[in-house]
Amino acid sequence: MIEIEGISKTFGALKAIDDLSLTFPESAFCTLVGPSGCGKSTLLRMINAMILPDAGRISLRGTDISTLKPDRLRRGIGYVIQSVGLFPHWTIADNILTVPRLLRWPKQKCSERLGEIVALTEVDPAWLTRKPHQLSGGQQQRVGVARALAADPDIILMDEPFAALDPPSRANLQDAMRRIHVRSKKTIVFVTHDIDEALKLADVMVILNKGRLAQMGTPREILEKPKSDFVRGFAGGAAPRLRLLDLEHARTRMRPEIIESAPVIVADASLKDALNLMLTQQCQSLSVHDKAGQPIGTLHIADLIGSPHES
Amino acid sequence: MPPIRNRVLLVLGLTGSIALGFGGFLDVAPNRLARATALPIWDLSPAAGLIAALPLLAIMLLAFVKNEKWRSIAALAGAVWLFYACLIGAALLAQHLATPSEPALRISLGMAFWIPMASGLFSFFDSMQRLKLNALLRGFCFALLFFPFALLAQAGVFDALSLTKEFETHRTAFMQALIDHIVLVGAALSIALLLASPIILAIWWKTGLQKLTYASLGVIQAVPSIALFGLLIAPLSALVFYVPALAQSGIGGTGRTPAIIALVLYSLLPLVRNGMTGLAAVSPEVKDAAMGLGFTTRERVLKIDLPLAMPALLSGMRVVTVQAVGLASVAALIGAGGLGTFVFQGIGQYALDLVLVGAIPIILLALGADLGFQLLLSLARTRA
Repeated sequence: MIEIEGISKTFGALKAIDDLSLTFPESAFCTLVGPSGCGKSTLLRMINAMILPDAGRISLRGTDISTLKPDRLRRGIGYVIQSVGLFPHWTIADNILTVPRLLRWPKQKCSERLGEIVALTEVDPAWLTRKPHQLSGGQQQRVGVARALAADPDIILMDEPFAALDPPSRANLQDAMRRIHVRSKKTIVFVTHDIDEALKLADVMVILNKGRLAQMGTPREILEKPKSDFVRGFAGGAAPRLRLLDLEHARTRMRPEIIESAPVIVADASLKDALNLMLTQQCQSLSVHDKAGQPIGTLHIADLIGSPHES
Repeated sequence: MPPIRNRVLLVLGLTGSIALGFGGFLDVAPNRLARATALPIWDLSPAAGLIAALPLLAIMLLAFVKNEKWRSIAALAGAVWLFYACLIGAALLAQHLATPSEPALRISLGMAFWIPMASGLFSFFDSMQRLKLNALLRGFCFALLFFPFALLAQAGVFDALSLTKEFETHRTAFMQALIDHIVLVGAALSIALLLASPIILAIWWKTGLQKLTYASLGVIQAVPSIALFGLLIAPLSALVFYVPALAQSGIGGTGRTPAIIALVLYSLLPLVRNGMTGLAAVSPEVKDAAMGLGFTTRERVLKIDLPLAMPALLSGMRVVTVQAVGLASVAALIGAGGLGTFVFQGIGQYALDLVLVGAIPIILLALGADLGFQLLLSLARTRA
């Protein structure tokens, strides 16, 4: 749990953070979004004392971070940045074990942990003996994530980690990040300017504007009940309802009836995928199948249009 | 005519051949002061001429060979052959010319020796470069090239040459000079390193100082070495005059002290510049990541910054060492000792062989230092 209480930060004439208070709940995947210059990166970097606030207090697990030595504090927090910043003169294995070695873990524990972390973050073991420059951008950032998780911190800070990647690698890493979160239950604070990425990943979304909290809530709350025109415009844009479809699975809106000869969609696919399939197949109904390939229901185009409470 | 694949070999082979064909292979004088007669190798022994001409011809022809690998290996072999043909040829012919009845007879090496010899060495360097040998293999090649030479020299094969005679007469002085030279360079480099590190750190923290530092160190670089040695004499003499205790510890207006000071001053700019380049090469992302993961400043400098800056630092050291080996020879003029002593003595006595007794080891020292740093560099690069 990360508590932010009355934080302010000014850079010259620019007020980056203006009397901000909020709490990132424990074990939640929190995305921190806002237009550029809204203070999201500044807030993130204040959590691990890379930037010190002018006023206010930040506590982690109930401890005020200003009472801790910065390097000690940071060794207990995972840190991933957009430019990755792997150490070019170390192998991938050495890079991943950076923090455990700073913490002087015994060799045995390090090598055990390396195995665990490679499995958790889906790093290809063949990379371990390579140098960073031998990997692609997406592979490097996967290693960046592994390095952040290596010493098993309960908090991970991620500053636009996937912004510089090509769309397939980005989607790939986003999915991996969701799985890692489900398995590890870390508290993640994830800064992004990409609203789709924020909606896709978040348990809790925090929207900042001009250094102040614009709204905090689940992606659904943000899209359905924006508190201001700013949030409505920023989060939903021109098509908030379309974005909502991305948050829900086919399973939640299907009817229990079973039909033959309709295009098939899996129950875990999003409603957006379902709509896309209807448009490409030019049909109005889809047959919903479970993982085993058994038909379990039907999704009609009318089911997508109404809100879930009405169906 | 087939296309030329390696111009360097063609030029080297051609110059070597011209020199061998028309220059004097051995210069013979009745005594140290008399004028020497240049004797072409063809007058001495046509067979020896042929043995030396063959590899030169081969090197020239190799310039047209297409396959780079085989061309370079063959050129390497040709170069070694040429090297030893010249050396052994000169030694044997000199032995043949020397007579016990004329002990003052001077037999020096002539143009037709030095130029083909240089052609051989340059072909050797060029081929090693083209074969992309790493520093370790290069060192090995050098050792292979010079080891038989050392054995032959030890066995007295070259004793009839006046160069060897000069060396023999100055043997004890030579050893002392060699040690002096190395000590001079070593002391200057260690002091320069000790001074450069705080300067690098200072202008690393305060970027404003950078311009001023570079400008003042640059001015020193621009002062000619003899002038700088000379400039230091007056203030140091004055210092010793007012603080006589300093004289007791060997400090003076001439001698080692001004030489070391000058060498240090010359070394600072390249060291500081390369140090800064190295540190600047550590990307800000890497530093940010290191800080964010919880490195202390000390840990970061030791584990990240320094290893990443090491290649640039070492290439700075390499430049500075080679430069200092050369400059230290000029320091002989102000009584600092070292191999330069023979060079200036030789010039004074118009004894070219004595000049070479100083100059050849200076060149070898510089080459050796260069190779040593290349080796360290390749080690640092594979780790980086």
